[in-house]
Amino acid sequence: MADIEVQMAQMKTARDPDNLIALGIGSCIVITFYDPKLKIGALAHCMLPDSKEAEPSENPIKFADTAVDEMLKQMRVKGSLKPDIEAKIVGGANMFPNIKHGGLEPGEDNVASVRKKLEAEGIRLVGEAVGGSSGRSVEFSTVTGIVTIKIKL
Amino acid sequence: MIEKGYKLTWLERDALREITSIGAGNATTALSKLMKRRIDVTIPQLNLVSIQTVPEIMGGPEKLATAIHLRIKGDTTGSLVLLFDKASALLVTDILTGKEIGTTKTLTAQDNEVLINMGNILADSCLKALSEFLDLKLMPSEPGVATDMIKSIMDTVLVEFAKKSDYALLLEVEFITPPTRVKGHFFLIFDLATINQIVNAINKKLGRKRKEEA
Repeated sequence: MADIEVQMAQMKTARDPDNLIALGIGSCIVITFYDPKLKIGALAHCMLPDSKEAEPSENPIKFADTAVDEMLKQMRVKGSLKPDIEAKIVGGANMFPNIKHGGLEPGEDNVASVRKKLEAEGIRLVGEAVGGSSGRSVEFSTVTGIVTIKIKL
Repeated sequence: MIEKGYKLTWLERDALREITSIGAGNATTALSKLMKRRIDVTIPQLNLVSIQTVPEIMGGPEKLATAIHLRIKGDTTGSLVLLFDKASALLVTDILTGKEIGTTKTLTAQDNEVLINMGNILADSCLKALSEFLDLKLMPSEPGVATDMIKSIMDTVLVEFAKKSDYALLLEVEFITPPTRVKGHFFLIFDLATINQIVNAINKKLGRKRKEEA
C-alpha cells in the first residue's frame, strides 16, 4: 500500500490499495473523486478558483474549475462513469483571520467555485471540510473512499 | 527578461542577495532594538522555486510555526514573511512583553497583537530601506499572524503569486538571538516580473554609481 503525495497545483490518481495524500493545505482547496465500484480515486490540490480571472497558465490544476475537467478526463480514461463518481472537498481556510478583506475571505472563493463547478457537471458532493482558519492535511483511501483530515491546534 | 527556466546570473544573484541583506539587516536591527538583544543573521539563501515546491523549512511540512505575513504593495508586488518555530515564538513573546522566559505557553489574542505590532515595525524598517536603495515604492500592507503547520502557511502565502506566474523567488535569512534560543526565518518573496524590476533598479543604481566614478 503506497502513500502518494500530491503537491500544490498537482493532481494524481490511484487505485486500491493506495492512498492519496496532501500535506498542509491552507487556503488551497483539495478535491477528491472516488469511484466505489472500481475503487479508483483522484485528488487535485488547487490554488485559485477561476481560470478565467488570472494569467493563462499551462497548468489547469492551478484552478478549481479546470482541475475538475482534468480529473473527470483521467477518471474516464481509467473506466469510470460520471454518475458513479463521488466528490469531497477539503480546505479553503482563511489562514490569517485577523486581516479583514472586503467581500469573500481568501479560501471562500475557492470553495464557492468548486461547488458551482461540481453542480454544473452533475457530480455528487458527498462530503466536505472547508472554511475555518486552520491548515489541514488530507489522506484519501482508495480502499474505503474515506478522507481523513488532520488539524493541529 | 527573466522567464520560466531562467537561471539567475551570478550578478543578479549577488544583487538579490544584497537587497535581502539590506531588507533583513534593517528588519533584524529593528527587532534587536525591540528585544534589547543582539541578533545574528546568516548569509541570504536564494531559491527560485516553482510555486509547487515549498521548501522543506525547519524540519517538516506539518511542524507548527508562527508566521507574521504581509503583502508588499506599491511599485512592486511580493510578500514578507517572518517565521518562528513554536518554541521561538513563545520566547519572542516573553521578551517583547517583558515577562520571564518560559512564562508564555500558548499565544493569546493579545500576544498575537504584540507580534503583529512587531511585524509592522520590522516591515516598515525593511521596506523603507529597500525603497530608498532601489528608488522604488515598496509599502507594507496590514500584517496577518497565524500559528499552524508550516506548509499550510507557506502554501497560502504562495497562492497570491500563483495568479500571475508559476514561479516565485524566495529570499531567506535565518536569524538567532544568542544566548536565548530564538531562531527565525525572514523571507522576501517576489514573482518573476518583480524580480525583473528589482534587478533593473539595481543595475540602474550601479550604472549610475559607475558613471560617478569614471
